[in-house]
Amino acid sequence: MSNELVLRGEESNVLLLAKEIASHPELADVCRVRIATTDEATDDSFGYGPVVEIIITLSSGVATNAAYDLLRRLISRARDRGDLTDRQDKAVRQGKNDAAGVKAQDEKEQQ
Amino acid sequence: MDVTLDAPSGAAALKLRSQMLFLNQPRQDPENLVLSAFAWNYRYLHETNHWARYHGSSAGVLLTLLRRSRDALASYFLETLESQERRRLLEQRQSGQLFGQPSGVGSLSGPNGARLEQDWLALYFTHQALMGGVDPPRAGGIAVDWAINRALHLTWFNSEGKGMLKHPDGLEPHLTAAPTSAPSPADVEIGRLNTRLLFECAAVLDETYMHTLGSVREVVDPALWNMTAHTIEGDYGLAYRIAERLAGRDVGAGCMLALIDFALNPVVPGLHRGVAAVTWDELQPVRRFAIAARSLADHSPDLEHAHPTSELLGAFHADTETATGLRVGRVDSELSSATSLQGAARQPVHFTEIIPNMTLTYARKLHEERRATPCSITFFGLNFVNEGALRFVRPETWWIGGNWWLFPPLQVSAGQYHWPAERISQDDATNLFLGTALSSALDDIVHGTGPLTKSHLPEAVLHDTAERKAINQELQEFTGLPLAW
Repeated sequence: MSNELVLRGEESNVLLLAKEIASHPELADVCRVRIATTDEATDDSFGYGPVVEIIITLSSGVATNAAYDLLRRLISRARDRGDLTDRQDKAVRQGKNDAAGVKAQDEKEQQ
Repeated sequence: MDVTLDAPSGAAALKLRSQMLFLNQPRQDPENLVLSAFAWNYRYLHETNHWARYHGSSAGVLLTLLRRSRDALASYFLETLESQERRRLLEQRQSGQLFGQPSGVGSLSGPNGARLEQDWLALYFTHQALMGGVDPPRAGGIAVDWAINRALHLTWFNSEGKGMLKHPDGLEPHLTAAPTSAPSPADVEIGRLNTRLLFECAAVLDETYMHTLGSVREVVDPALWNMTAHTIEGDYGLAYRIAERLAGRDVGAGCMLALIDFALNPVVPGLHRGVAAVTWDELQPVRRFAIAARSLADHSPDLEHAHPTSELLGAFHADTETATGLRVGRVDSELSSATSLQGAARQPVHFTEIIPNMTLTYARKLHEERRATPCSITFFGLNFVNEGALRFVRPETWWIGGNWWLFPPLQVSAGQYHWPAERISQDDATNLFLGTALSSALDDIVHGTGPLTKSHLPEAVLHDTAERKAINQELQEFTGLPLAW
């Protein structure tokens, strides 16, 4: 079983987050990162940058160790740099997506 | 799929369709307050930059007037339909028929409808072509030159005394058939460049002033610099790379901003006194940009080696005009009789004119600013370093002391609609909201087939059952059609 966290944000911010995650060897074993492009750019809208998604797949059990704290800090810092929204697709609204579970845990830890 | 409504995007954006700035407030509990505050300021500067450059350029004013003419025409078209034709319009929308297709919706009301359809398409196409790249998009079966000439004529005819100059007898606006000198997509990798990316390049370059000038550079987080650097390496820096390739050498950032400003300010019939004839090379921003960039191969403006000033910019314009034969445009007409947001919001006008009235009031002030201090819009980022940066500290109240026209007034934050409550009443804000929602629905109605789009509007308003019902009622009265968000 694995948990998937899907965040959507400006490309420059998301790629920097991916780079930061990659630069920590302790995260390499426990999470996998994928970037997906979106089709949000239109010619009648000026954006801050292209919007992409980062898909972070966590191995099970990660939430209890130091690697999870590190990942959470990196994501929090990326949120300081710009909005990162959790993908609200149908599966998330229906509570079927693992990403929703990760987010709930994330918020719980912050309290 | 309407991505923005279902999942609020992480990106800040100025939506031209609604003229609303989408920008969430800074994080409530940031990990790093300084990083969070600066990151937010960068976004605000970036989108404000678009606002000032768009409405403060002659191309932007022309685009506003083309859109106003198009919306007025669509609204008139709907008014002319009999009830039976309205039903057929809805059926044709549902079956995927667009304007401009054989037996499309325009032809359903006879020769008059077909003529309105052609005129609407000419206005729509010309807007797309000005926002597009060196090669115009396909004109949907109508001749490109005819469409542009017709759009220039209709816009001037509709805007005479309402944003444009008096239309002199015998001075019909038209494209002249001068041989083209703009590079074609085959010459260089120029095919992907469009007018939007010129604006984006300018906005990213202006961010670099924040990084490199003033006291901010001492405290700014290197992560923000990395993000800007990454953005310039992508599509937002495409204009820069193309210009350097065309010039055959490195070009300074100040010179690049002046090039973009030159591109965005063509002579426009109806705005620039005494001009009726232009070439497409002279009118279309990307073509202007490419031709002017190529001329840099032969000369190096003083602007490249010094801090930008209005004098250096004037010299740059004069040199570029000589080198390219393309003129720098200006706005000689009175864009608006209103002098404030409130004044614009309270002018009794048709729904299609409410937002143009608002943006032209801002454009009027921005073009006054351009005349008084030519540098202030060309090098917009410089307004926000050193003493000028003070106006950045509390942008939501800075207008009290002036400069309100630099900032987009209508905002969407976390899906909520916001307006400057100190300057306009709730009724004014409602009026502006209806103006933007109804006029931006017209493209969907006459030229779309699916549900009405809404990603350019604040989602909270349309999620509220009572508000949505009220807005839909206005929409149905306005269009005479049983359509709803």
